[in-house]
Amino acid sequence: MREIRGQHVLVGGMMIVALLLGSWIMSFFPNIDDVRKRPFEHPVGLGSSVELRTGTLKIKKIQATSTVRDPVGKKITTAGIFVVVEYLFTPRQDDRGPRTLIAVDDQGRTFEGASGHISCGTFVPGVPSACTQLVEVATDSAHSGLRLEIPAHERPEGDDVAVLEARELPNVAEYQLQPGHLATAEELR
Amino acid sequence: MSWWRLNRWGLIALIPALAFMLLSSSARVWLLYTNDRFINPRPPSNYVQSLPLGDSATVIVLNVALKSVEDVTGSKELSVPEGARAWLVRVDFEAPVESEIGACQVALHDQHDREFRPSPEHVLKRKIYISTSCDPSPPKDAPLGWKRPAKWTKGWLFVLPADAEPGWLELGWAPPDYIHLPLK
Repeated sequence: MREIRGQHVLVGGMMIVALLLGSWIMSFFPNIDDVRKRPFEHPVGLGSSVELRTGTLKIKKIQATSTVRDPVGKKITTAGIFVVVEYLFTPRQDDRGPRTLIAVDDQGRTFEGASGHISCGTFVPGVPSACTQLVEVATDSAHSGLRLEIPAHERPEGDDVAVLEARELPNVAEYQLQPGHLATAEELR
Repeated sequence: MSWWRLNRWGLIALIPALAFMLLSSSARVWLLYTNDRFINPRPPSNYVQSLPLGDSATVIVLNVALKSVEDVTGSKELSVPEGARAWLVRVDFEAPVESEIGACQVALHDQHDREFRPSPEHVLKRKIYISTSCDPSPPKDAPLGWKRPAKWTKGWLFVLPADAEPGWLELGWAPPDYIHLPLK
């Protein structure tokens, strides 16, 4: 009887040790949510193109300003800085495409969206759209450059993201926003 | 007595248990990811669609027929960018006057099954609002409480790349059913 009880204690102890060992081993594995949400990053430079899940993106211009004027003439100002990214996007299969612009500064602060933010309009698969995206950042963010992220669709989590390291941001006094439209022959050059 | 023999009933019960587990997780995938997409094509005649209306629901019965598919790239009212073509697709609708035809989603698919949404804003020279839904637009002088007719025609303007040919039209109100209307 004592021998059987001893065996039970031994089995119970071994199970506890196995569970603790398993838990310790699992701590070395990445968290499942982190893996699921990790974006697929694609570096892109000014004037170059990158293939994303939803289509092809080409960066045309990056500028900084404190004043933008929207397509109907309304003036929008900020105490910070508007970073304006102009790009061409050619959707692959349907009307899905980039919907946001995210900026990360060297302190790890994340900025997303801006008042007066503008979309690309209705995407037409196979036909390049000329888009303008804005993000409003803090004044001290742009000194040492910014990391700009353009997700393939709505959110960067678990999706393709074009990553642009913007070292220099040419400043303009005022930026005139254009509504999203299909790219003209001149814009395609 | 061997371990297999000792646990035979448990092992037998495990098979349907695993099957039920697989089915229930599949149902969850179905409900979460597929049931909110237009995945069930239906013919254009006598199309029945149930629509949620707040706490109640309504059922619409529609007959849809293709009227015309026209390449309107050269139209004076349009400015079509290089490498693209504009297509006007017109469709005849028929539905009882008392049926509420809510907003629908319209998409044109080409020969490569690429999906295009109506995009008149890209090519119309005059910046005017054009409904991209299925219900008829009321006439300019429509009185208050105007009711749509039992038969009407609706047209949508699509912009396609020059190499794309219109293949079929998707008209959907609430997933997963939609009208599949061939354009040839």
